[in-house]
Amino acid sequence: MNLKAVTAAFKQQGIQFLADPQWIIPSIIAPFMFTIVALYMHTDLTGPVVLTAVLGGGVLGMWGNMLFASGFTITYDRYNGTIEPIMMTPSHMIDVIAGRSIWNALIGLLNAVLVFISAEAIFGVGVSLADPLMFFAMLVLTLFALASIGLMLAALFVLTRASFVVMTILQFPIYVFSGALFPIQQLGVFAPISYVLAPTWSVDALKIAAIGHGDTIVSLGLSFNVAIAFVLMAFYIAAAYFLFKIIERNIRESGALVRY
Amino acid sequence: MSEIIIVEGVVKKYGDRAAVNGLDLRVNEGEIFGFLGPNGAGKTTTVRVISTLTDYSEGSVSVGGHDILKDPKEAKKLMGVIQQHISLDTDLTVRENMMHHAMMHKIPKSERMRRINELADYVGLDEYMDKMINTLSGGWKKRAATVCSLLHKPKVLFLDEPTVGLDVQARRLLWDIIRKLNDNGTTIFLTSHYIEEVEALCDRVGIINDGKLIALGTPSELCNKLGSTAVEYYGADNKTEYKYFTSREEANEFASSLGDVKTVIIRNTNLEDCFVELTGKSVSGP
Repeated sequence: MNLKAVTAAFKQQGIQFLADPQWIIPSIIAPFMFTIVALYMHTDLTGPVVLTAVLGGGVLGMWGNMLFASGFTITYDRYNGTIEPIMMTPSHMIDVIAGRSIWNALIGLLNAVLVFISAEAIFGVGVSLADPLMFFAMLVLTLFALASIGLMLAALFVLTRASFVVMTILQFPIYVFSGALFPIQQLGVFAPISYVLAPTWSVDALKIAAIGHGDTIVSLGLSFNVAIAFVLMAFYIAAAYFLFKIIERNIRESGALVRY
Repeated sequence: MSEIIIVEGVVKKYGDRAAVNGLDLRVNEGEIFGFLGPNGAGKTTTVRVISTLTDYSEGSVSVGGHDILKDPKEAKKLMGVIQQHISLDTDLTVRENMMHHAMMHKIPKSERMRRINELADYVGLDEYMDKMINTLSGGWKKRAATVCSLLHKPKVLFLDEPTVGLDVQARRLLWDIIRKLNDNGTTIFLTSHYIEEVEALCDRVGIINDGKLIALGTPSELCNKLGSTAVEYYGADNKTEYKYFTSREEANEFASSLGDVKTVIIRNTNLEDCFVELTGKSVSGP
C-alpha cells in the first residue's frame, strides 16, 4: 500500500467534504433529525428504549455518511474525469478508496459522538454506560463494520449510473436489519438477514457495552459478537477487493473509465 | 536514435468493431510524433492503450523497454498524459490538484513543492496557484493539467487533442510549452485533427484510418508522396478539385490547360492534402 496515496486521498476527501455543503444533509442534519424524532417518540420511556433511540441516531449518522461517501467515492471521479489520471499513476485504486474511507469513518464517528452528546445536552436523556471505554471501542467497530459494507457497495456503484438512487434505497434497510432501530427479534422471518450483516453484531456489542446485554438470538457475549463482526468484515473487504479487480478489468476492456 | 514506444500488431475491439486493427508503430526518443486521423479513426483508443487505460485484445506494447502488461508500474512512471477533456478536481485549487497528483506519484515531500513551483513557473501559472479550477479559462486549465502530468518527470508526454476548445492565443502558448518540453528531452506523442498543429510541431507524423496506420513519415516526406505542388481549382460545376504534381512547371502547364474555371491556386502541397487524399479517397473512398 502506498501511504502517500492514502494520505493524498484522505486530504482530497476532506477538502471535498468541506467544499461541498450537500454532504452536511446526510452526514449531520439527517441523523440529528432522526434522533430528535426518536427521542420525542420515547419521551416517557427509559433504559434500553432510549438507548435504541440514541443509538439509532448515531448509527444512522455513521451509516448515512459511509453509504453516501462510499457510493460517491468512485462516481465522483468518473463525473469529474479524474479517475483516469489516478489509474495512470503507480498507486492502486484501493489506496485511494482507503484514504477516502478513513476520512469518512472519522466524520461518521464524530457524527455519532455528537448525536450522543446532544441527546444528553438537549434532551437530558444520556445513556449511562456500563463500560464507557468498551462502548467507544464498539462504536469504532460499528463504524468499520458499516465502512466495510460501504466499501463493497462502492465497487458496485461503479457499475450503475443510478448510484444516487441505489444509495437512497439502501439507506434504511441496513439501519433496520442491523438492529439499531429496534431489536432484531421483531423482524420475525427476516431476522436471518440481520445475521449476515457485520453491523448487527457490532451494534449488539454496543448494547452489551452500554447496558450489559444485547438483542441477538445467538448471544454468547461481547467477544463472540466482535469475532463474528470481524469475520463478516473480512468477507466484505475481500469481496470488495475482488469486485474492484473485476470491475477495473471490465472497464479497461470496455474503455469506459469515464462514462458520463 | 532509440525507440521509446514500440507497438506491435495491436488490436483493440469493442464488440465486433475493431477500433485499432493490427497497429504497428514505433516512436523515437526525443521526437515530437503527431498522430492524425479523422474522427473515430482510433487515435484516442491508441493513446489509451499505450497509456494503460484500455486493455487490448492482441499484440504488444512497450514503453521505455517495459511491457505495459507485464510491467505496468515501471511503464507508468515514464508516461504523462494530458487528456482531451479537463481531468482536474474542480473542488480543489490549482495547487491542491498538483499536490494530489504529486502524492499519487509518490514524489517525496521534500521535492513536491519545489517541483510544483518550478513547473508552475515554467508554464506561467504562478499567480493562479491558489485559484479554484472552475474559475480558470480553458487555456489555464490545460496548463494546470500539463503541470500535473509532468510532476513525475515523464520521458514521454501524450497529448490527446490538446488544443480543442482553446482560442488562438492559448493554442499558440501551449505549442510553445510543447516545444520547450521537447527541447528539454521529453518525447511528445500528439494526437490532433488540427493539421496545422501537427505541421507546426511534429518531426514525424502517422496517419491512422479505420484503426490502421496508413502513412508514416516526416510532413515533407508525406507531402512529397503526393507531389510537391498542388493545383486547387474551383470549376464551373461549383466543386473544388485538387491535382498534385512533382514540379511547379507541370502544375503551371496543367493550370493553363484548364478551361472554364472560376479560381485557380497553385501552391505547395501540405499535410492536409495528404490527409484528405489518404483518408478521404484512397482509403475510405470519396
